[in-house]
Amino acid sequence: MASIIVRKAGEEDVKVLAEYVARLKSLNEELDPHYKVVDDLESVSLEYVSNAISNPDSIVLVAVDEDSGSVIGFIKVDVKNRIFYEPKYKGVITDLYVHPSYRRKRVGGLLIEKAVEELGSRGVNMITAVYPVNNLIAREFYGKLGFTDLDIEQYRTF
Amino acid sequence: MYEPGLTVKKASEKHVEDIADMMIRFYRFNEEFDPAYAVREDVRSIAVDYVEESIKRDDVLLLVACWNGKPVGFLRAEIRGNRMLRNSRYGTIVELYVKPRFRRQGIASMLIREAGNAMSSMGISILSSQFPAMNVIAKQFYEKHGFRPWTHIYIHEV
Repeated sequence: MASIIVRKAGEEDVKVLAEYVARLKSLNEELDPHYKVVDDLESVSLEYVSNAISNPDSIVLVAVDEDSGSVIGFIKVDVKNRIFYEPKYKGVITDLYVHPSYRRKRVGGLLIEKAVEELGSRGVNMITAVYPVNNLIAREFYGKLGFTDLDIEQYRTF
Repeated sequence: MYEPGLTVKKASEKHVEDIADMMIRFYRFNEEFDPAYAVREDVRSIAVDYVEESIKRDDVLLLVACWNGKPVGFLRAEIRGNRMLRNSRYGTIVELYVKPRFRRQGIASMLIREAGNAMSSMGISILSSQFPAMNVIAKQFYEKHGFRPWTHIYIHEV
């Protein structure tokens, strides 16, 4: 099996990460029509990734296949202040995507592990994940890694 | 020709581009469920040919759902067989897709109903469907439409 390394994302990763962001949001669209993606998804994704990489409150890590040198997945974690609660800070996984060809190799788990290390070094000791309720793949994945339910977000349209 | 409202019919040459586009969306969705469904890089160049061939083959049923004349969903089923069985031929839905914006309106149900009618008119009494084992939404959808588990397919990388 190829060895996978995880490193911080840089400017050179923006293009591939934008592609992965677009794939992830398109998957959400398949799972629920309320996640219908915008027409200019590509350019919005590019801007989203660029902003995240330069935002000190976001941690963006990439998984790289050492053999091919290609970026095969990424994680974006935002550090949030829980002003009313202890612990005072949490890391929120807003995006986590691994290219389908590299699934079932524990790349997602590795990305989370490294994000947790980075959060720890910043004095943050809580991590959460946000994803559509219909994404049962994500639910099973996070469940296996010991995540349990915290918040519920409900909606209605009008 | 203007066709008001929703219609389901056999696909023809004029639908090829739209169906090819939805075919890619379908496979991109499936690839999220298992790495063995990872699509090839040049899938776009294959898809048109795949759809054209499906229209021509008489052991393939390709139905298209149109909203005001514009394709919004499709169903592709293959006629398969096993001479050892009393039901020596059966239809299998291999691909079924409805654009997210047109979900929850019974379009897929209409496609399935039409597929059942088409099979029946060919003297085929079984309609089956295949989808990724992890696709719980598909499982619920088909069970709601009276389908039951029939054949399990297991894979193992060798």
